[in-house]
Amino acid sequence: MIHKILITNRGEIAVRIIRTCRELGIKSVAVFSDVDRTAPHVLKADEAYNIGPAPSTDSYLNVQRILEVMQISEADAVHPGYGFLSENADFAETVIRAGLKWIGPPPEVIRLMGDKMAARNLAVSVQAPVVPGTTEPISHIGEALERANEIGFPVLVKAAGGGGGKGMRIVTHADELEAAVNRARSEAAKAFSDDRIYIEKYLEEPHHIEIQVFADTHGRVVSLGERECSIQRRYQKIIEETPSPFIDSQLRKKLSETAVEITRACRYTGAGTVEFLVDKYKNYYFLEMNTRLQVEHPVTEMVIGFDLVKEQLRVVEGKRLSFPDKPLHPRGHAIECRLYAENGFKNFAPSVGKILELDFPQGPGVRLDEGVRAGQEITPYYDPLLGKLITWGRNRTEALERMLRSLQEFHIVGIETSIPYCLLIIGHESFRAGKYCTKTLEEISGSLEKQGEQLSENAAIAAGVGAIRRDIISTPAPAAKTPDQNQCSPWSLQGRRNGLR
Amino acid sequence: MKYLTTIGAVKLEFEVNPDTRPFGIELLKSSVKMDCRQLSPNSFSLLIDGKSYFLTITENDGGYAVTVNQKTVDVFVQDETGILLNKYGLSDSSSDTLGKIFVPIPGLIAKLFVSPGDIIEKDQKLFILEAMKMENEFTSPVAGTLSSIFVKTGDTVNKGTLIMEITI
Repeated sequence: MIHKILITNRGEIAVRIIRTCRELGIKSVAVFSDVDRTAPHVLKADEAYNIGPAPSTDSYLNVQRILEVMQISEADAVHPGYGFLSENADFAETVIRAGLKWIGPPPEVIRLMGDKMAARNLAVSVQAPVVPGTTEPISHIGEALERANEIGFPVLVKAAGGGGGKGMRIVTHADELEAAVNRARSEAAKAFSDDRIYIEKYLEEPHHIEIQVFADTHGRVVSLGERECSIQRRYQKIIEETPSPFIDSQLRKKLSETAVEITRACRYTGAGTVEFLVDKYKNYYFLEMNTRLQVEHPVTEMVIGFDLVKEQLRVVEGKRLSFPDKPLHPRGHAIECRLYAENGFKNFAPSVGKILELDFPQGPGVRLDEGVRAGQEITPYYDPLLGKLITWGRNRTEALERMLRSLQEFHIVGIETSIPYCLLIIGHESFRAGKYCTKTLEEISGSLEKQGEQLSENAAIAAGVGAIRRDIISTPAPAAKTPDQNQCSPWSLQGRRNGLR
Repeated sequence: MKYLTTIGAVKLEFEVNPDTRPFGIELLKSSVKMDCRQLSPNSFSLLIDGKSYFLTITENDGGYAVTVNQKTVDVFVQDETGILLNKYGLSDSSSDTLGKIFVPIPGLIAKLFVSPGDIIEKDQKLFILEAMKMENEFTSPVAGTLSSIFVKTGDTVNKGTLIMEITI
């Protein structure tokens, strides 16, 4: 039995794990950097310990400090969330050696599937289709050119340790290859201290579809269905949904079976995700396996009705998975929007600053996994994910309508967010029709930007009146006026003071 | 007192009744009824002929960033004095800030694509800023000639740092 879990993460995922701990009566231990002392995960956990300065290499990746917290807190398990140390096999080994339970697959599986080439070879060994490409890291530019010509342009230049779009470049012409390889290499070296580069075929109208898998220690491996993750910016997902509007039951079955075979072949345990690329001809290719809980796991939870963190804990405790024996059929439809502190209309420029005001959407079919609170400072040190909005509906249309409605209910002052951008994507005809691929966002971004600037006549009047009102409030009243004539209530005076800070 | 608001190319004139301010705002040459209430330092409720708007307003470069229906626009407000000054060409022109390239976030200058004297086209790549572990590409908002660069590759810059200036 697990009694106390140390969560080596921050933001919304730490909060989400704490919530499950609370429900199960398990104590939660948070860790925080100097700038996160008052972040929600610290406020919500039962215990919290400082692990160093703001940069993540000094705090959330600081294994030495985390080891000390393991001892001080007497936690008996570690949940790494996603990102940070979640796919670090050495850290998993350290945790296990320290006598704690690691909430994730065994370290050797993390190591195996974290190596893109090893994972690819494993997939090939179970007859899973893979994208044509180099199987060895390229050593020099001449070789890169030769291999790229064999595969045929366009090709994708990618880093061995890469993920989330870091260290990835599309190259359409041979003369762009050298620059792309060099840039991918430098980005990869900095981001994951590994500058090995591979080249592979770039697919037509590809869809990014992943299968949520789960395996227990009793030999049971299940597929919990797919997630459609093709709405991406800079190779990072923004919107995910399940079921995918693109795939049919036959393809769904094939993807699930392939994912289960790969999961079984690598002797996986716990929650994992097998990612596939599916081209417009419905050819599918194994991409990689993520050996952790995914950011977008809630859409699966919404349609299958199980808490995946609870299942992770069952597996670690040696229990059987609680999913029924018969194949799981999703109930209804779920969509997730990732809420980033960034402006979709300004090339996704990150936004930092203090969140002055914050109101969350509520109501039927709405779930919010949030990692921020009003008054919090958004710093440039970490991933700009503020939280995730998930809506559920009896069908796709209802889930979509709820997403539009609840995005509009958001009220955030002080930082820019991806909410306006998400609203336009969800409202766009290609998303409404369920006809989109990983290239769609890039294609429609121009028209979204134009829409983002358009205000109706009445809205423009409203904006004008509001700005005048605000201007009058922030401009000192003429001396001749008495407070009475200005209709200044104590409330508005206080408001003005707050506004001036 | 007259007020002029500018949102992009849209200019609207309002009459503000000083006796009943701040509630008595009317759109000139129109008879719409307005009722504007402040909810918090940065949010306002507005009823225009019964239609309800929820506004978020923050100060922004001499104007206001107003969010309505999850769309944010920059609104510049001028009162009567400002309108007059503008008419006689006495006001500060905002065009001299157009070619100044600032960074909105702190980060590291990873690469500069241009050098002083270069002819710059609109949307041309200017530099890469590394922040939040991503390489952020900055492009030119204007066409012109690059007059000066104030940083070099490898520099760490704060939010709001002037990176380069383009003469239009």
